[in-house]
Amino acid sequence: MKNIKKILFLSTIAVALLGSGCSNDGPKFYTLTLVVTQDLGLNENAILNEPWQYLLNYKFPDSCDNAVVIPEVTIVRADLASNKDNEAQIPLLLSGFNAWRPKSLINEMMIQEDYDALLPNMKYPPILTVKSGKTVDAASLLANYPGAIVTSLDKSGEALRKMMLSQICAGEKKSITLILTGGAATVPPMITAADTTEIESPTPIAGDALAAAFSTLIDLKKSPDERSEMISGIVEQFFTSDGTIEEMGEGNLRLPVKPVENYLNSLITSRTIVRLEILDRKMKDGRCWTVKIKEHHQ
Amino acid sequence: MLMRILVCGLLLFASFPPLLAQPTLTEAEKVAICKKASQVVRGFFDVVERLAANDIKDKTKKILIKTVVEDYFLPEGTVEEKASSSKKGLTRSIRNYLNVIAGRGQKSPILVNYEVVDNLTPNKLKPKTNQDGSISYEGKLRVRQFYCKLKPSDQLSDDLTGNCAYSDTTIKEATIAIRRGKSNHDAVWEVFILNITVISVTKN
Repeated sequence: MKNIKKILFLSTIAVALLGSGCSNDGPKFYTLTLVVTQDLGLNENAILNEPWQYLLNYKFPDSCDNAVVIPEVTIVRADLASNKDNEAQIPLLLSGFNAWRPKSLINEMMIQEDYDALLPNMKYPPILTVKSGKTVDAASLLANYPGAIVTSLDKSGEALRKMMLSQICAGEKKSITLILTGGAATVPPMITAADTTEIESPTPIAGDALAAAFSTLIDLKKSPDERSEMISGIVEQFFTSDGTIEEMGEGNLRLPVKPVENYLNSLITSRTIVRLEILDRKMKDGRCWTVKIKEHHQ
Repeated sequence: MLMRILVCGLLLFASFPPLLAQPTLTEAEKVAICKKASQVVRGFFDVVERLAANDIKDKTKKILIKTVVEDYFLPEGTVEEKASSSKKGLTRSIRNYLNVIAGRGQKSPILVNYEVVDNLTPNKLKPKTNQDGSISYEGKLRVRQFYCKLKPSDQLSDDLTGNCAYSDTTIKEATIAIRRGKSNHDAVWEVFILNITVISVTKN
Protein backbone atom coordinates (compact mmCIF):
# COMPACT_ATOMS: atom_id res chain seq x y z
CA MET A 1 0.00 0.00 0.00
CA LYS A 2 1.61 3.15 -1.13
CA ASN A 3 1.16 6.82 -1.72
CA ILE A 4 -0.59 7.64 1.45
CA LYS A 5 -2.77 10.58 2.01
CA LYS A 6 -4.13 11.37 5.37
CA ILE A 7 -7.10 13.17 6.73
CA LEU A 8 -6.86 14.15 10.33
CA PHE A 9 -9.86 14.84 12.43
CA LEU A 10 -8.50 16.93 15.19
CA SER A 11 -8.54 15.14 18.46
CA THR A 12 -10.27 12.47 16.50
CA ILE A 13 -8.06 12.41 13.50
CA ALA A 14 -8.49 10.43 10.35
CA VAL A 15 -5.89 9.47 7.84
CA ALA A 16 -6.44 8.86 4.19
CA LEU A 17 -3.91 6.57 2.69
CA LEU A 18 -3.47 6.18 -0.98
CA GLY A 19 -2.16 2.82 -1.90
CA SER A 20 -1.77 1.50 -5.35
CA GLY A 21 -2.61 -1.16 -7.79
CA CYS A 22 -3.98 -1.38 -11.28
CA SER A 23 -5.65 -4.17 -13.19
CA ASN A 24 -7.72 -5.06 -16.14
CA ASP A 25 -9.54 -7.97 -14.60
CA GLY A 26 -11.46 -8.48 -11.46
CA PRO A 27 -9.30 -9.97 -8.75
CA LYS A 28 -9.83 -13.38 -7.27
CA PHE A 29 -9.07 -13.86 -3.63
CA TYR A 30 -8.07 -16.92 -1.75
CA THR A 31 -6.53 -17.65 1.57
CA LEU A 32 -3.11 -19.17 1.70
CA THR A 33 -1.95 -20.46 5.04
CA LEU A 34 1.71 -21.26 5.26
CA VAL A 35 2.67 -23.37 8.23
CA VAL A 36 6.37 -23.14 8.88
CA THR A 37 8.52 -24.61 11.60
CA GLN A 38 11.42 -22.23 11.49
CA ASP A 39 12.27 -18.61 11.02
CA LEU A 40 12.34 -18.02 7.31
CA GLY A 41 15.15 -15.55 7.71
CA LEU A 42 13.46 -12.87 5.71
CA ASN A 43 14.12 -9.25 6.33
CA GLU A 44 12.72 -6.07 4.93
CA ASN A 45 15.41 -5.53 2.37
CA ALA A 46 15.76 -9.11 1.29
CA ILE A 47 14.61 -10.07 -2.14
CA LEU A 48 12.36 -13.07 -1.92
CA ASN A 49 13.71 -16.07 -3.68
CA GLU A 50 11.94 -17.89 -6.43
CA PRO A 51 9.61 -20.25 -4.56
CA TRP A 52 8.31 -17.41 -2.42
CA GLN A 53 7.80 -15.13 -5.36
CA TYR A 54 5.69 -17.77 -7.00
CA LEU A 55 3.74 -18.51 -3.86
CA LEU A 56 2.89 -14.95 -3.02
CA ASN A 57 2.52 -13.51 -6.47
CA TYR A 58 -0.64 -11.83 -7.58
CA LYS A 59 -0.76 -12.50 -11.24
CA PHE A 60 -1.07 -15.90 -12.83
CA PRO A 61 -1.51 -15.29 -16.52
CA ASP A 62 -1.13 -18.90 -17.44
CA SER A 63 -3.71 -20.18 -15.02
CA CYS A 64 -6.59 -17.80 -14.57
CA ASP A 65 -7.25 -16.04 -17.85
CA ASN A 66 -5.04 -13.16 -16.95
CA ALA A 67 -6.87 -12.52 -13.69
CA VAL A 68 -5.30 -11.05 -10.65
CA VAL A 69 -5.34 -13.67 -7.95
CA ILE A 70 -4.63 -12.32 -4.55
CA PRO A 71 -3.51 -14.61 -1.80
CA GLU A 72 -4.45 -13.61 1.68
CA VAL A 73 -1.50 -15.04 3.44
CA THR A 74 -1.27 -16.15 7.01
CA ILE A 75 1.99 -17.55 8.22
CA VAL A 76 1.87 -19.83 11.21
CA ARG A 77 5.05 -20.41 13.13
CA ALA A 78 4.16 -23.87 14.33
CA ASP A 79 7.37 -24.19 16.27
CA LEU A 80 6.56 -21.23 18.46
CA ALA A 81 4.26 -21.51 21.40
CA SER A 82 1.56 -18.90 21.66
CA ASN A 83 3.01 -16.91 24.45
CA LYS A 84 4.41 -13.48 24.93
CA ASP A 85 8.00 -14.60 24.67
CA ASN A 86 7.43 -15.50 21.08
CA GLU A 87 5.49 -12.46 20.05
CA ALA A 88 8.62 -10.48 19.47
CA GLN A 89 9.93 -12.95 16.95
CA ILE A 90 6.87 -12.94 14.82
CA PRO A 91 6.88 -9.35 13.57
CA LEU A 92 10.38 -9.95 12.28
CA LEU A 93 8.98 -12.55 10.03
CA LEU A 94 5.99 -10.46 9.15
CA SER A 95 7.94 -7.37 8.30
CA GLY A 96 9.92 -9.08 5.60
CA PHE A 97 6.81 -10.19 3.83
CA ASN A 98 4.98 -6.99 4.29
CA ALA A 99 7.86 -4.96 2.99
CA TRP A 100 8.00 -7.07 -0.10
CA ARG A 101 4.29 -7.24 -0.63
CA PRO A 102 3.44 -3.56 -1.26
CA LYS A 103 6.21 -3.40 -3.81
CA SER A 104 4.79 -6.43 -5.47
CA LEU A 105 1.39 -4.83 -5.37
CA ILE A 106 2.73 -1.87 -7.27
CA ASN A 107 4.57 -3.95 -9.79
CA GLU A 108 2.21 -6.77 -10.38
CA MET A 109 -1.31 -5.58 -9.91
CA MET A 110 -3.19 -3.61 -12.49
CA ILE A 111 -6.46 -3.32 -10.68
CA GLN A 112 -8.82 -0.67 -11.90
CA GLU A 113 -12.13 -1.88 -10.60
CA ASP A 114 -13.87 -0.41 -7.65
CA TYR A 115 -13.41 -3.00 -4.96
CA ASP A 116 -16.46 -1.83 -3.07
CA ALA A 117 -18.72 -2.64 -5.99
CA LEU A 118 -16.83 -5.64 -7.14
CA LEU A 119 -16.50 -7.50 -3.93
CA PRO A 120 -18.86 -6.16 -1.34
CA ASN A 121 -17.84 -8.73 1.18
CA MET A 122 -14.17 -8.53 0.49
CA LYS A 123 -13.40 -4.94 -0.16
CA TYR A 124 -9.76 -4.78 0.42
CA PRO A 125 -6.64 -6.52 -0.70
CA PRO A 126 -5.44 -8.85 1.95
CA ILE A 127 -2.36 -8.61 4.01
CA LEU A 128 0.01 -11.04 5.44
CA THR A 129 -0.56 -11.98 9.00
CA VAL A 130 1.61 -14.10 11.18
CA LYS A 131 0.50 -15.99 14.21
CA SER A 132 2.21 -18.40 16.49
CA GLY A 133 1.11 -21.96 16.73
CA LYS A 134 2.11 -24.51 19.31
CA THR A 135 5.17 -26.65 19.37
CA VAL A 136 4.10 -29.75 17.59
CA ASP A 137 5.45 -32.84 15.95
CA ALA A 138 4.71 -33.86 12.40
CA ALA A 139 1.69 -35.93 13.29
CA SER A 140 0.15 -33.08 15.25
CA LEU A 141 0.78 -30.68 12.43
CA LEU A 142 -1.13 -32.81 10.03
CA ALA A 143 -3.91 -33.27 12.53
CA ASN A 144 -4.12 -29.55 13.17
CA TYR A 145 -4.31 -28.70 9.50
CA PRO A 146 -6.46 -31.30 7.82
CA GLY A 147 -6.32 -31.07 4.10
CA ALA A 148 -3.03 -29.23 4.13
CA ILE A 149 -0.48 -29.73 1.43
CA VAL A 150 2.86 -30.69 2.87
CA THR A 151 5.71 -29.57 0.74
CA SER A 152 9.20 -28.26 0.80
CA LEU A 153 10.50 -24.88 -0.14
CA ASP A 154 13.09 -26.68 -2.17
CA LYS A 155 10.36 -27.77 -4.46
CA SER A 156 9.79 -25.76 -7.57
CA GLY A 157 7.73 -22.70 -6.81
CA GLU A 158 6.29 -22.77 -10.26
CA ALA A 159 5.00 -26.29 -9.83
CA LEU A 160 3.45 -25.33 -6.52
CA ARG A 161 1.84 -22.30 -8.02
CA LYS A 162 0.37 -24.23 -10.90
CA MET A 163 -1.01 -26.82 -8.58
CA MET A 164 -2.60 -24.21 -6.32
CA LEU A 165 -3.91 -22.06 -9.11
CA SER A 166 -5.44 -24.87 -11.03
CA GLN A 167 -7.72 -25.33 -8.05
CA ILE A 168 -8.24 -21.65 -7.34
CA CYS A 169 -8.98 -20.65 -10.91
CA ALA A 170 -11.34 -23.53 -11.42
CA GLY A 171 -13.23 -22.26 -8.41
CA GLU A 172 -12.72 -25.53 -6.60
CA LYS A 173 -11.12 -23.96 -3.59
CA LYS A 174 -10.88 -20.63 -1.89
CA SER A 175 -8.39 -21.65 0.68
CA ILE A 176 -5.13 -23.54 0.61
CA THR A 177 -2.89 -24.57 3.44
CA LEU A 178 0.72 -25.48 2.85
CA ILE A 179 2.86 -27.06 5.52
CA LEU A 180 6.40 -26.20 4.59
CA THR A 181 8.87 -28.77 5.72
CA GLY A 182 12.16 -28.09 7.37
CA GLY A 183 13.32 -26.90 10.75
CA ALA A 184 12.20 -28.56 13.92
CA ALA A 185 9.30 -30.53 12.54
CA THR A 186 9.85 -33.47 10.30
CA VAL A 187 6.92 -34.16 8.10
CA PRO A 188 6.44 -36.56 5.27
CA PRO A 189 6.95 -35.16 1.80
CA MET A 190 4.11 -33.94 -0.31
CA ILE A 191 0.69 -34.97 0.82
CA THR A 192 -2.07 -33.40 -1.23
CA ALA A 193 -5.56 -33.18 0.03
CA ALA A 194 -8.58 -30.99 -0.46
CA ASP A 195 -9.15 -28.01 1.77
CA THR A 196 -12.69 -26.78 1.59
CA THR A 197 -12.56 -23.97 4.09
CA GLU A 198 -14.49 -21.04 2.71
CA ILE A 199 -13.48 -17.46 3.22
CA GLU A 200 -15.90 -15.81 5.58
CA SER A 201 -14.29 -12.70 6.90
CA PRO A 202 -11.32 -11.51 4.92
CA THR A 203 -8.38 -10.06 6.63
CA PRO A 204 -8.54 -6.33 6.06
CA ILE A 205 -6.08 -4.51 3.88
CA ALA A 206 -2.71 -3.47 5.05
CA GLY A 207 -4.56 -0.87 7.07
CA ASP A 208 -4.29 -3.29 9.94
CA ALA A 209 -0.58 -3.57 9.46
CA LEU A 210 -0.39 0.18 9.16
CA ALA A 211 -2.40 0.66 12.32
CA ALA A 212 -0.13 -1.84 14.05
CA ALA A 213 2.91 0.06 12.87
CA PHE A 214 1.41 3.36 14.01
CA SER A 215 0.47 1.86 17.35
CA THR A 216 4.05 0.81 17.86
CA LEU A 217 5.16 4.27 16.86
CA ILE A 218 2.97 5.93 19.48
CA ASP A 219 3.81 3.36 22.15
CA LEU A 220 5.00 5.38 25.11
CA LYS A 221 7.00 2.42 26.36
CA LYS A 222 9.30 2.93 23.41
CA SER A 223 11.91 5.65 23.61
CA PRO A 224 11.80 8.55 21.15
CA ASP A 225 14.95 7.13 19.57
CA GLU A 226 13.27 3.80 18.96
CA ARG A 227 10.20 5.50 17.60
CA SER A 228 12.29 7.73 15.38
CA GLU A 229 14.18 4.80 13.96
CA MET A 230 10.95 3.08 12.97
CA ILE A 231 9.84 5.88 10.71
CA SER A 232 11.90 5.14 7.64
CA GLY A 233 10.69 1.54 7.75
CA ILE A 234 7.06 2.61 7.97
CA VAL A 235 7.47 5.05 5.11
CA GLU A 236 9.21 2.43 3.01
CA GLN A 237 6.62 -0.20 3.75
CA PHE A 238 3.42 1.75 3.33
CA PHE A 239 4.03 4.99 1.50
CA THR A 240 5.45 6.24 -1.73
CA SER A 241 8.41 8.55 -1.49
CA ASP A 242 6.10 11.50 -2.12
CA GLY A 243 3.33 10.22 0.16
CA THR A 244 1.42 12.96 1.88
CA ILE A 245 -0.92 13.40 4.78
CA GLU A 246 -3.91 15.64 4.74
CA GLU A 247 -5.40 16.75 7.99
CA MET A 248 -9.06 17.37 8.46
CA GLY A 249 -11.08 18.31 11.46
CA GLU A 250 -14.64 18.65 12.59
CA GLY A 251 -16.83 20.78 10.37
CA ASN A 252 -14.80 19.56 7.42
CA LEU A 253 -11.94 21.78 8.48
CA ARG A 254 -9.04 21.42 6.09
CA LEU A 255 -5.47 21.81 7.19
CA PRO A 256 -2.31 21.77 5.07
CA VAL A 257 -1.07 18.66 3.35
CA LYS A 258 2.31 17.64 4.64
CA PRO A 259 4.87 15.00 3.74
CA VAL A 260 4.18 11.77 5.53
CA GLU A 261 7.58 11.79 7.19
CA ASN A 262 6.83 15.13 8.80
CA TYR A 263 3.64 13.75 10.22
CA LEU A 264 5.34 10.65 11.56
CA ASN A 265 8.11 12.76 13.07
CA SER A 266 5.48 14.66 15.01
CA LEU A 267 4.47 11.38 16.66
CA ILE A 268 7.93 10.64 18.05
CA THR A 269 7.34 12.46 21.31
CA SER A 270 3.57 12.68 21.29
CA ARG A 271 2.01 11.82 24.61
CA THR A 272 -1.52 12.70 23.65
CA ILE A 273 -2.31 10.22 20.89
CA VAL A 274 -3.49 7.04 22.53
CA ARG A 275 -4.93 5.09 19.63
CA LEU A 276 -5.22 5.05 15.87
CA GLU A 277 -8.35 3.51 14.49
CA ILE A 278 -8.98 2.49 10.91
CA LEU A 279 -12.28 4.03 9.86
CA ASP A 280 -12.70 3.38 6.19
CA ARG A 281 -10.89 2.03 3.19
CA LYS A 282 -11.64 2.43 -0.44
CA MET A 283 -9.98 2.34 -3.79
CA LYS A 284 -9.40 5.77 -5.19
CA ASP A 285 -9.05 6.57 -8.89
CA GLY A 286 -8.17 2.99 -9.74
CA ARG A 287 -4.58 3.39 -8.68
CA CYS A 288 -4.46 4.18 -5.06
CA TRP A 289 -6.00 3.30 -1.78
CA THR A 290 -7.49 5.82 0.54
CA VAL A 291 -7.60 4.82 4.16
CA LYS A 292 -9.00 7.04 6.85
CA ILE A 293 -7.55 6.65 10.28
CA LYS A 294 -8.95 8.31 13.32
CA GLU A 295 -6.59 9.54 15.96
CA HIS A 296 -7.74 9.30 19.54
CA HIS A 297 -6.21 11.83 21.84
CA GLN A 298 -6.12 11.98 25.60
CA MET B 1 -27.87 59.81 -14.41
CA LEU B 2 -28.45 58.80 -10.86
CA MET B 3 -29.61 55.41 -12.05
CA ARG B 4 -26.45 55.03 -14.12
CA ILE B 5 -24.22 55.78 -11.15
CA LEU B 6 -26.17 53.34 -9.06
CA VAL B 7 -25.82 50.56 -11.63
CA CYS B 8 -22.12 51.25 -12.10
CA GLY B 9 -21.64 51.25 -8.37
CA LEU B 10 -23.39 47.93 -8.04
CA LEU B 11 -21.33 46.43 -10.86
CA LEU B 12 -18.12 47.65 -9.28
CA PHE B 13 -19.17 46.25 -5.93
CA ALA B 14 -20.06 42.92 -7.45
CA SER B 15 -16.75 42.67 -9.27
CA PHE B 16 -14.87 42.21 -5.98
CA PRO B 17 -16.46 39.17 -4.45
CA PRO B 18 -13.37 38.37 -2.34
CA LEU B 19 -13.96 41.59 -0.49
CA LEU B 20 -17.56 40.72 0.08
CA ALA B 21 -17.20 37.20 1.34
CA GLN B 22 -13.83 36.43 2.87
CA PRO B 23 -13.73 32.88 4.22
CA THR B 24 -14.18 32.72 7.93
CA LEU B 25 -14.19 29.83 10.35
CA THR B 26 -17.48 28.14 11.08
CA GLU B 27 -18.27 27.30 14.68
CA ALA B 28 -17.46 23.64 14.09
CA GLU B 29 -14.17 24.59 12.47
CA LYS B 30 -13.35 26.81 15.41
CA VAL B 31 -13.77 23.87 17.75
CA ALA B 32 -11.45 21.78 15.59
CA ILE B 33 -8.93 24.60 15.31
CA CYS B 34 -8.81 24.95 19.09
CA LYS B 35 -8.09 21.25 19.48
CA LYS B 36 -5.41 21.47 16.83
CA ALA B 37 -3.85 24.46 18.58
CA SER B 38 -3.73 22.50 21.81
CA GLN B 39 -2.06 19.59 20.04
CA VAL B 40 0.55 21.85 18.49
CA VAL B 41 1.38 23.48 21.81
CA ARG B 42 1.55 20.12 23.56
CA GLY B 43 3.75 18.87 20.75
CA PHE B 44 6.14 21.76 21.37
CA PHE B 45 6.35 21.12 25.12
CA ASP B 46 6.78 17.38 24.56
CA VAL B 47 9.84 18.16 22.47
CA VAL B 48 11.21 20.64 25.02
CA GLU B 49 10.86 17.94 27.67
CA ARG B 50 12.94 15.47 25.67
CA LEU B 51 15.62 17.96 24.64
CA ALA B 52 16.01 19.14 28.22
CA ALA B 53 16.20 15.61 29.58
CA ASN B 54 18.98 14.81 27.11
CA ASP B 55 17.84 11.21 26.95
CA ILE B 56 17.74 10.96 23.18
CA LYS B 57 20.29 10.71 20.41
CA ASP B 58 21.51 13.82 18.61
CA LYS B 59 19.95 12.51 15.42
CA THR B 60 16.54 12.39 17.08
CA LYS B 61 17.06 15.86 18.56
CA LYS B 62 17.66 17.27 15.10
CA ILE B 63 14.47 15.68 13.79
CA LEU B 64 12.46 17.04 16.69
CA ILE B 65 13.87 20.55 16.34
CA LYS B 66 13.15 20.54 12.62
CA THR B 67 9.59 19.38 13.24
CA VAL B 68 8.90 22.11 15.77
CA VAL B 69 10.54 24.87 13.75
CA GLU B 70 8.87 23.97 10.47
CA ASP B 71 5.54 22.53 11.50
CA TYR B 72 4.59 24.13 14.80
CA PHE B 73 5.88 27.71 14.65
CA LEU B 74 5.69 30.57 12.22
CA PRO B 75 9.13 31.38 10.79
CA GLU B 76 9.28 34.49 12.95
CA GLY B 77 8.14 32.54 16.02
CA THR B 78 9.79 33.27 19.35
CA VAL B 79 9.92 31.88 22.87
CA GLU B 80 10.52 33.91 26.00
CA GLU B 81 12.34 32.59 29.04
CA LYS B 82 12.62 34.16 32.43
CA ALA B 83 14.41 32.99 35.55
CA SER B 84 12.70 33.58 38.86
CA SER B 85 15.53 35.88 39.89
CA SER B 86 15.37 38.03 36.76
CA LYS B 87 13.23 41.05 36.22
CA LYS B 88 13.33 40.79 32.46
CA GLY B 89 12.75 37.84 30.21
CA LEU B 90 14.90 36.81 27.29
CA THR B 91 13.24 36.22 23.93
CA ARG B 92 14.82 33.93 21.39
CA SER B 93 13.86 32.64 17.97
CA ILE B 94 12.29 29.21 18.18
CA ARG B 95 15.30 27.47 16.63
CA ASN B 96 17.70 29.26 18.94
CA TYR B 97 15.55 28.48 21.98
CA LEU B 98 15.42 24.76 21.22
CA ASN B 99 19.16 24.62 20.63
CA VAL B 100 19.78 26.40 23.93
CA ILE B 101 17.56 23.94 25.79
CA ALA B 102 19.29 21.00 24.11
CA GLY B 103 22.69 22.45 25.01
CA ARG B 104 21.68 22.95 28.64
CA GLY B 105 20.36 19.43 28.83
CA GLN B 106 23.69 18.10 27.61
CA LYS B 107 25.52 19.89 30.39
CA SER B 108 23.10 18.86 33.08
CA PRO B 109 19.78 17.07 32.57
CA ILE B 110 16.70 19.18 33.18
CA LEU B 111 13.32 17.81 34.14
CA VAL B 112 10.51 19.61 32.37
CA ASN B 113 6.86 18.88 32.83
CA TYR B 114 3.80 20.84 31.81
CA GLU B 115 0.06 21.03 31.82
CA VAL B 116 -2.33 23.17 29.84
CA VAL B 117 -4.11 25.32 32.40
CA ASP B 118 -6.17 27.55 30.16
CA ASN B 119 -7.20 26.02 26.87
CA LEU B 120 -8.09 27.88 23.73
CA THR B 121 -11.83 27.96 23.17
CA PRO B 122 -13.81 29.17 20.14
CA ASN B 123 -14.97 32.32 21.88
CA LYS B 124 -11.33 33.31 22.49
CA LEU B 125 -10.47 33.27 18.80
CA LYS B 126 -10.11 36.87 17.66
CA PRO B 127 -10.66 37.59 13.96
CA LYS B 128 -8.28 39.97 12.30
CA THR B 129 -8.66 41.61 8.87
CA ASN B 130 -5.39 41.64 6.97
CA GLN B 131 -4.21 44.21 4.45
CA ASP B 132 -5.36 42.07 1.56
CA GLY B 133 -8.80 41.80 3.07
CA SER B 134 -8.42 38.20 4.18
CA ILE B 135 -9.44 37.14 7.65
CA SER B 136 -7.07 35.47 10.07
CA TYR B 137 -7.48 34.65 13.74
CA GLU B 138 -5.43 34.73 16.87
CA GLY B 139 -5.96 32.98 20.15
CA LYS B 140 -4.08 32.30 23.34
CA LEU B 141 -3.69 29.39 25.66
CA ARG B 142 -1.75 29.02 28.85
CA VAL B 143 0.55 26.31 30.10
CA ARG B 144 2.07 25.74 33.50
CA GLN B 145 5.63 24.50 33.11
CA PHE B 146 7.70 22.86 35.81
CA TYR B 147 11.45 23.22 35.31
CA CYS B 148 14.11 21.49 37.39
CA LYS B 149 17.79 21.54 36.64
CA LEU B 150 19.11 18.42 38.28
CA LYS B 151 22.09 18.41 40.60
CA PRO B 152 25.16 16.47 39.45
CA SER B 153 24.47 12.75 39.55
CA ASP B 154 26.76 12.12 42.54
CA GLN B 155 24.67 14.56 44.58
CA LEU B 156 21.28 13.09 43.78
CA SER B 157 19.41 11.51 46.64
CA ASP B 158 16.20 9.59 47.23
CA ASP B 159 14.64 12.80 48.45
CA LEU B 160 13.16 13.85 45.13
CA THR B 161 12.30 17.35 46.26
CA GLY B 162 15.92 18.17 46.97
CA ASN B 163 17.41 17.03 43.70
CA CYS B 164 17.00 20.25 41.76
CA ALA B 165 19.91 22.66 41.61
CA TYR B 166 17.40 25.18 40.27
CA SER B 167 13.67 24.82 39.97
CA ASP B 168 10.78 27.05 39.04
CA THR B 169 7.21 26.96 37.83
CA THR B 170 6.32 29.23 34.95
CA ILE B 171 2.99 30.21 33.51
CA LYS B 172 3.54 30.58 29.79
CA GLU B 173 1.15 31.95 27.21
CA ALA B 174 1.18 30.69 23.65
CA THR B 175 -0.23 32.93 20.95
CA ILE B 176 -1.70 30.92 18.13
CA ALA B 177 -2.01 32.31 14.61
CA ILE B 178 -4.68 30.84 12.35
CA ARG B 179 -4.57 31.94 8.77
CA ARG B 180 -5.80 31.02 5.36
CA GLY B 181 -3.32 29.25 3.11
CA LYS B 182 -3.03 27.08 0.06
CA SER B 183 -2.07 23.45 0.08
CA ASN B 184 -2.06 21.33 -3.08
CA HIS B 185 -4.15 24.07 -4.70
CA ASP B 186 -6.80 23.77 -2.01
CA ALA B 187 -7.68 26.45 0.49
CA VAL B 188 -6.80 25.35 3.99
CA TRP B 189 -6.43 26.83 7.46
CA GLU B 190 -2.95 26.89 8.92
CA VAL B 191 -2.35 26.72 12.66
CA PHE B 192 0.98 27.91 14.02
CA ILE B 193 2.42 29.15 17.26
CA LEU B 194 3.36 32.81 16.86
CA ASN B 195 5.13 33.18 20.18
CA ILE B 196 5.34 31.95 23.72
CA THR B 197 5.70 34.52 26.45
CA VAL B 198 6.18 34.30 30.19
CA ILE B 199 3.28 35.43 32.34
CA SER B 200 4.73 34.60 35.72
CA VAL B 201 7.59 32.70 37.33
CA THR B 202 7.63 31.20 40.79
CA LYS B 203 10.75 29.76 42.35
CA ASN B 204 10.02 26.35 43.80
